[in-house]
Amino acid sequence: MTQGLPFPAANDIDETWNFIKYGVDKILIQDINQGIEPSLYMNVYTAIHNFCVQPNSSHTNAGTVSRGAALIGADIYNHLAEYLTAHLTETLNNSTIYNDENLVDYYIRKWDRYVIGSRYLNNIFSYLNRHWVKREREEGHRHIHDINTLCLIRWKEDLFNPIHSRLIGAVLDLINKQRDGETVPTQHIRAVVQSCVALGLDENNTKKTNLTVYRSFFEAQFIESTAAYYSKESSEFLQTMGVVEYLKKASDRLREESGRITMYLRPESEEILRSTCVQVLVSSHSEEIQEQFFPLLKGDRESDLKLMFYLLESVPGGLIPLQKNLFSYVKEQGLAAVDALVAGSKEAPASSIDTQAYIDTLQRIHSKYTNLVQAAFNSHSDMQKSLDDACRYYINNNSVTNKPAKGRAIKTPDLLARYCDTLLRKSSKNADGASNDAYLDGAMTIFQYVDEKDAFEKAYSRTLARRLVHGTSLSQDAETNMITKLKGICGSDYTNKLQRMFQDMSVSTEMHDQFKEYLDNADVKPVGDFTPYVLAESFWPLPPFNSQFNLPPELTVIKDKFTSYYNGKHTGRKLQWLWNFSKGELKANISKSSKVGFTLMVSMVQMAILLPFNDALEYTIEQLKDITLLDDDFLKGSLTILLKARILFMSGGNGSSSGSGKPSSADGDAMDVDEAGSASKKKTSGATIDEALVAAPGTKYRLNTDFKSKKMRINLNLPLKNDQKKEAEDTQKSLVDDRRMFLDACIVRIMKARQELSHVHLIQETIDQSSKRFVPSVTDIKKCIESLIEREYLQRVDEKTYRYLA
Amino acid sequence: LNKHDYNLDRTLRLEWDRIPKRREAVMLENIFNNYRDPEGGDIIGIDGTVQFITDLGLELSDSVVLAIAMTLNAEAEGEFSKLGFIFGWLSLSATSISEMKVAVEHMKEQMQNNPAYFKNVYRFTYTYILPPNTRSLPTESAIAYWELLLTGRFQKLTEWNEFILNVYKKSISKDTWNMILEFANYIPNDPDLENYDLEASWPSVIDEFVEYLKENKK
Repeated sequence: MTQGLPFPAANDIDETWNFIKYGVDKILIQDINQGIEPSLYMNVYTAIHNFCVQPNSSHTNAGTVSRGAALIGADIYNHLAEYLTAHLTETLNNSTIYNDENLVDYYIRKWDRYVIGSRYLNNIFSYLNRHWVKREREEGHRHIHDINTLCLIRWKEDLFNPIHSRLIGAVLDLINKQRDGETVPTQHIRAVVQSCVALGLDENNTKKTNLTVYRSFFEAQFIESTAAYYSKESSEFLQTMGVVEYLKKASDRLREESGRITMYLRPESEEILRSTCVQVLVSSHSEEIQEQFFPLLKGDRESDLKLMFYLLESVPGGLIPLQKNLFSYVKEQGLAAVDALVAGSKEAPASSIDTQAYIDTLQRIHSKYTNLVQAAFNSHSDMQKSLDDACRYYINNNSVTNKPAKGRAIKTPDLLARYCDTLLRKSSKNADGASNDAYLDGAMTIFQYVDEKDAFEKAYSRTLARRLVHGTSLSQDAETNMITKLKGICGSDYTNKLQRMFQDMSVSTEMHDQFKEYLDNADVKPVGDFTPYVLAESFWPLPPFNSQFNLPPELTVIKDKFTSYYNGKHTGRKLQWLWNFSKGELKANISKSSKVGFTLMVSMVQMAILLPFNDALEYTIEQLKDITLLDDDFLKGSLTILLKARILFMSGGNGSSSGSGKPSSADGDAMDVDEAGSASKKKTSGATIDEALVAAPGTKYRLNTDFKSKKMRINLNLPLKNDQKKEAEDTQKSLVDDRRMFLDACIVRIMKARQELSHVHLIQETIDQSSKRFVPSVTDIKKCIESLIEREYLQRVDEKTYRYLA
Repeated sequence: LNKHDYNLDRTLRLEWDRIPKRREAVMLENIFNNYRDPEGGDIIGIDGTVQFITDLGLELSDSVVLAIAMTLNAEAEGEFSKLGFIFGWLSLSATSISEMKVAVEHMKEQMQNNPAYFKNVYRFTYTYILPPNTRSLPTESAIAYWELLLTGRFQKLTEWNEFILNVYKKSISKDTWNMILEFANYIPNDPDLENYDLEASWPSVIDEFVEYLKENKK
């Protein structure tokens, strides 16, 4: 023990070093678990101190007296360094018998011991550290370090450098073994990694963690070995197990590797490790993986798709083929579903496709793949976009909408409007408000994909107008709700007209009450109940009544009253009576066989035709024409319905010039069916009316005094055929006009703001601005630009640029 | 010009009144009076124009007549105003019929070799031949003047005229008129029109024409 030894002569370096060496030996080599006795610690410290502060005159190295103080420290420092080198060389030599795991084990043991030792050494030599080392470093001697650092440097140079390839190789083997599923001492790996980190020294600040050693001696090799391991594994696995299994394997591996980071690696390595793994596991096989996307999609293999997405998401550009495939697949699915629907309803031409089934089909495909994108692709924006594009495609262009060969093609917006109409109309089916709302929400989902939103607005306002005027709307709430939905998607501009329609309705109801009062005050007794609706022409898509019409005298009074009442209230407004939208109920005591009269729900035109039969039982067509002043089309259409319903009978007059050889057949057939007594269904009863003969000159019409029906209320107010056709044409035309105006306004607005703009930009901005309503074709836009040039709103600056002319 | 709201005629008139009548101007006035419309007004009427053109040794159907009309600031077909006539020739320093002939030769040369000059003449032609109080040019006169101006310049001229006459059948807007020259200049770069962009800024009538060409080729 130290106590036994005398203090060394302060001026004798060898003596002093021997004295110190004893303590160093103890610190570095012997078991240190109990710590070092304070006395030893004190003695060594004192010896160093004594040596360093001794007057320098009799120093062995007499020639360097002047710089004595510097050298005194240097002697001890050098001795210590040499000592460490010798100690570590020995440790190194002893390591040769170890290999692999044992080597790792050995290294760790030695390292741990050495680290503790160095800490003590640093303390014992702290006097040196504080004075000599500090001064040396201040003088710029960068190769001099504090003792702890010196220890680490010696370790790195004398032990780590010669041993590292074997050591790191062994560690990497351990990691690979773990990858193979064996249990390995992960704490050893962790320790080696930490020692690498500790060996990284920052020249300027030893306290700072420096990863240079970790990076260059460990991380690089680790990444390399990882890449090698997985490139081998993945190729083999893919060959033997196929892509689908591989998806699972690869994603497991990715998770495993990121676990490795927390287990024993530096977090700084996470990124490079991950990118390496992704590169090896996914990128290099991305084509094989991507090829499997289509089959998986077809098989609805959601979880596998999810894995695939997870893997490819981290590969730059890895999702692009998936997006393309998703687009084309969903598109095909949508088209195929519509095709199947069309094929399934063979008996009906495409134009009379079942609206509900159609919308349901569109929705089914959409929701199926929306769910998929959510569940498997985490609603990734690019995937969602592909889905949206695909939906937009099949919703706007499919075998229902593209059928110009047979008559008029029906567009999705029209069908959608019809669908909404059935949902919002009063009927027994629509009793349940909640589910109805869900259906409407579904319809709105489809609506979002509709390109021609303006066409929907047109069609919708048409059906809405009918619902409101005819009082067939399900409920005010349902309608308002629907408008709110539309507003949510397209903004209030879009629903403005629709909302005005509701306003008109409520104003009309108010007015109705006031008018009643007015009548009471005027002491006029109304004939029946009179409900007028005053509707602003510009908001209501109702076609005008374009025929002369002589109102039945029974009703003229009330009409005139109302007109004068209205004009009294509002000056400068013009009332237009839409007889084609008026309806009434007639009590008809026409049948001898029935004690109770029937109630006939008829259009105004029909009423005008029927009322004269109060006075006589038979009229010729000419007489009816004189009475009503109606155009042939209206007369004929309305008569046909009355004949079919068998309220009236027709008999060919002597003037019948139709030349058809069987003028009486209609009559005869009708009689037959009548006797058969199945008069309740209009369709069967009147199917044989020869329409060419209706309203032929000279034809006579007789009231059916034997009228029978099982129903007490009979609805005769059916839409006229030519009305419907014409309306569709009108709608189309007004749609085209509206679009042109919209585009004109749009272009002018853009140009006014920009003054000068290139063709390409103008086209692009115009498309952007109108996309909420419809998708204009470039040709349409060009035509508008041209007409604006002609009208001198714009001028060409050169071939590619326009200028706005104020 | 600024002072008089770009009213060219008025400006010229003021100018005319202000400057002392130079010899050249008097000479030109004399020439002008030779052709002047006997019916009155400070214009050369259609008969005078025919005579004048003939005296210059030109056919009426010569395209250079349009260049002359542009130089003389003619506002309607076959009509020259006095001021336009005098200032136009003055600007070219031509004060006699023989000097005018030289100037006309120069115009011919310009039309042949200076695309910008030709473009000016071409664009001027539209307003020049536009019937009074109309906004667009009847097909027949458009075709006639295309024949006159674009023969040899527009490779698809025959097809174009056919198309306008039989398919398009509408009168020609100024924009179309202007742009067809650009199109004629474009064709040599893309003789088969393979790169023609239907979405570029060509007027839609030219789009339709290109489609018509492609259809007829099949």
